[in-house]
Amino acid sequence: MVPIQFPDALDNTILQELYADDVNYATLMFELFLSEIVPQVYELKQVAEQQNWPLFRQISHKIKPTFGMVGITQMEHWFDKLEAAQDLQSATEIIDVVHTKLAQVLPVIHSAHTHLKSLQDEN
Amino acid sequence: MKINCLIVDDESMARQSLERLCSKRPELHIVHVCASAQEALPMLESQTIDLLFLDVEMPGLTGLQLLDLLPYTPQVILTTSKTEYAFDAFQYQVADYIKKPITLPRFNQAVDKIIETLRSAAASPPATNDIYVRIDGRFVRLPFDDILYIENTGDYVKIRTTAQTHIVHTTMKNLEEKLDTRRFMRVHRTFIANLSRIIDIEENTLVIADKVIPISRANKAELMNRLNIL
Repeated sequence: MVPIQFPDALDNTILQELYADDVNYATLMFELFLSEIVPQVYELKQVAEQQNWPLFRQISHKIKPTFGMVGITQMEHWFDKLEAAQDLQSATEIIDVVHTKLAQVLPVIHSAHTHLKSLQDEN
Repeated sequence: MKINCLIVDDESMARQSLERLCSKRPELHIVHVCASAQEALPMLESQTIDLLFLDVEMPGLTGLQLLDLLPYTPQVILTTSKTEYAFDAFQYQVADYIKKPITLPRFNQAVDKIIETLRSAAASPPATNDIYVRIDGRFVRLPFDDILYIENTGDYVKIRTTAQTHIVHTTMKNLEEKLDTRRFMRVHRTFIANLSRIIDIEENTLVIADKVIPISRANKAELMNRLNIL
């Protein structure tokens, strides 16, 4: 069993506990994160502008643990704050921080996903 | 031992993650994967689920509200991204409570504990002499002694007792698992008989009360072995 090597910028401790040597599982989760979760993060601003707070909290709560699935556990802290946001101004401020941080880490996620796909192809 | 599992989570990554984790354990058999508690409720009512992986916060019906509606209590692993539900988990006496994302060691720890519990339960004799069935929104107690036979009619089963016939929405398999196997036996694909209520047996039929019940060829030998024949 050879553990998968992920980029240093990601939380390797949690990623090893999640996937160990299971390349197919890790690839699937990174794919789902990029295709399903990232668009939802960007849609949050629109939901906040509609002031639909039940839906806003529901989406924030639902996607929070998915960040750990790709090794960016530090984002969960911001989603705790989003779940607690009560007004447009505070929600928008936090969403802007989330978007900035996500933009910084997305190239690393894409790189990890590309690496996983190459490992899949090798097998 | 095969453990029938149901996964309920409104988030797609969480559902697929649990499917992957379950596939690593040969003891676990995923019966269905549901995206809401509303979708899960009829599944839980129509078949026996041994292990329920249940998200707590879902739109519409929450995981805890779903537990309140269940006619029986499967082993439950609550999966949530919040730690605030620990007290609810304790109150609902769930088997385990896992914070998402679910790591492989934590998943294995929870599943090992449940397998141990289910093995212990399977090894001990049935503690009751009756069964409760849901009829018109009520749970009606049927003592095993009063049940004459059970007949499958597709989506429903007819339970004929000494007093009346009850029609229950379940499967023969589910019902069979709840009965005392020392008293009851599946004698045909569509009939379960209370062995102590048999009046007589002919070639391929037996009689209980006024009902002639077919005996399948496959079950005949076992039936004859279980009867005290002179």
